[in-house]
Amino acid sequence: MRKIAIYGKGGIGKSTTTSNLTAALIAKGYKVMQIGCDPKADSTTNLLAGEKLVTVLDAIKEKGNDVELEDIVKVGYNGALCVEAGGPTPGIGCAGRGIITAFEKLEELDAYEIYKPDIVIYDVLGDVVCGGFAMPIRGGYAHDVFIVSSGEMMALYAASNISSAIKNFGSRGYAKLGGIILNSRNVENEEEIVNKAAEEIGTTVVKKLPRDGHVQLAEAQGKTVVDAYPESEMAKHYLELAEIILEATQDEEE
Amino acid sequence: MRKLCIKLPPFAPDYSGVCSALYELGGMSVIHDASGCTGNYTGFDEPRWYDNQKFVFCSGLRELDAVLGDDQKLIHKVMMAAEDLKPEFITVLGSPVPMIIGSDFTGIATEIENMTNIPSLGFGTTGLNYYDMGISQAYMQLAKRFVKACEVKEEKTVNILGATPLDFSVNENITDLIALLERNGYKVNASWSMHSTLEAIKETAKAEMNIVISVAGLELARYLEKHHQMPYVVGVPVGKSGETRLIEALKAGQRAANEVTNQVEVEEETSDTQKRVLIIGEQVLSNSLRAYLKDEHHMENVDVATFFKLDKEIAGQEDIDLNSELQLIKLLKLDTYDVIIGDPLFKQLIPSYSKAEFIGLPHVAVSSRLYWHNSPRVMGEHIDEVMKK
Repeated sequence: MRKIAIYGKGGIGKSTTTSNLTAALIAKGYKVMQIGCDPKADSTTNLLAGEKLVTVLDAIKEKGNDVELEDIVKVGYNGALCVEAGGPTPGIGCAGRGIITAFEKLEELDAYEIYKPDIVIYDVLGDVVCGGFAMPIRGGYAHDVFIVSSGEMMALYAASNISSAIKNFGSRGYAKLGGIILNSRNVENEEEIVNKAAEEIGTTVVKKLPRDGHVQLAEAQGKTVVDAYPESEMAKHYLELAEIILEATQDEEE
Repeated sequence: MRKLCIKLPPFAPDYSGVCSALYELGGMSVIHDASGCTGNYTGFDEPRWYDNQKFVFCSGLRELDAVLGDDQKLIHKVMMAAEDLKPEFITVLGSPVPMIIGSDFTGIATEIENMTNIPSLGFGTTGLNYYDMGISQAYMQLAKRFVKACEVKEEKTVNILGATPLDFSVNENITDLIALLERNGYKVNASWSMHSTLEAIKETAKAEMNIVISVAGLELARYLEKHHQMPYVVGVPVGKSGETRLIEALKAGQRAANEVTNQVEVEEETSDTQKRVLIIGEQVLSNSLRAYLKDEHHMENVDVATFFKLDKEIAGQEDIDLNSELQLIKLLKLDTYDVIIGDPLFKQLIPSYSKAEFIGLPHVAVSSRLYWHNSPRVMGEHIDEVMKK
């Protein structure tokens, strides 16, 4: 099983990139589980034609110990296994702890053993702000981390922070940084800026995704570009990203 | 609020279970807490602490350490202590505050091990689960980390799984069991985890069979069966009949001692045989007590209720998984039982109108130090004394 975490600054296009990556990996014949780790619970929207699913934390709140896998895993586009960790009501509770509880529940219910996905992708909120949001890169979870960034200063700053968190865990033998996915915002000299930042962080830009109107058009339909416009240039970029990710990661025995 | 305990005390939590399971094995346990949890374990869940202190420490977690998640401070303290004490292994374990901030004990243990070269185990205990879960977690990590493979088994050699003072106190219970086995020609290889050393634990796979004497030992028994081809028997030899059951089960290599047909002569039927009995306690001991009541007192209507793990594979159809004090109060209000056996603290929950007879059987995980110095012996015929009372 390959386990991948996608991090990056809030609003940078992580969920869009992740959903398209999932769709592209499925198109290549893989069974993929995408786990959204954001209290907003909108990571998998484009794989579910805009339909909402019950988040892990909402299911626990509702059913306590009686939660079953069918309550929290929804099958979306072409068999995509969609899960959203969920979180507390905005302004109260602890979102980081929420991620931990959701992950513990998935483990307890043996989700990975039962569904046996080839690839698990964790789509993680913004920055590694606390222990909870570091959960996907801890032992037993993601083996490889990719950071989505543009050439904007704040996105690169977040990328640097995320990379520091990964390095901090280095002595524990956890996930390694696979590289940066440049989600272009058409910033001047963007490629050069991001390449330079990647070098400073000690990684590389694995793929540049151009800015393309098909992304918004597909989202308006509650779909991924790979699903809505499979013949578009942008869909080809996502398929290429899938190929790069497959090459950069290893299928590890559990 | 349904789970609130108003009359009963908090039962022994998971971190006490981990520490208790490892207490005699020469390690050093560090509970990451402000001191309340460590104090709770050493003061109220560990009868051995007073006469035989081992390396159990509190990390002295403070507000700012929690806010900043300062793992390095904990790691440094553990390293300093390890340098002085040179323990066989190191254990770091959690409590409620680390649970809230998501402390990564597996990772912390890895860092400690890398720096000290001493085997280190991390437990994400929370203080919200019960002791049996902690014992089980400790056993599993010990087994995965230390138990050596052994293809050739030593004949008539057994291990005991699930022995801690939280279930069996510090009286002669475990030595009674060992003596029984020895009288019948069996050698005890490793006792998980009283009266044993880490070296013996490492050699667990040498034995022919495992005897599970508490529900906390079941997961380990299943693991050893799968990975080290060791069959197991579940049961405590309660009463003369229980001794026969256990020995016969060992001879037959049978899984549940309670399924062995009893060979012991029983008393004649009396009016007692119609009585409905409720045993409230740890599942394996309670099951064995039920078998004893059936064998030696002809009591057929015996239910077991437990606040701790109720393993479905070894549970009776009518057995009750207790989720709250309120559930037990409601059950006792129905006044359907003639005899109730359990920790003396449960007696107060029996309604005043009930004519049910109560037999106290102290359980350290429930009533702590209130009764641990006069916990009864339960092995073999010693149980008759408890029943007579």
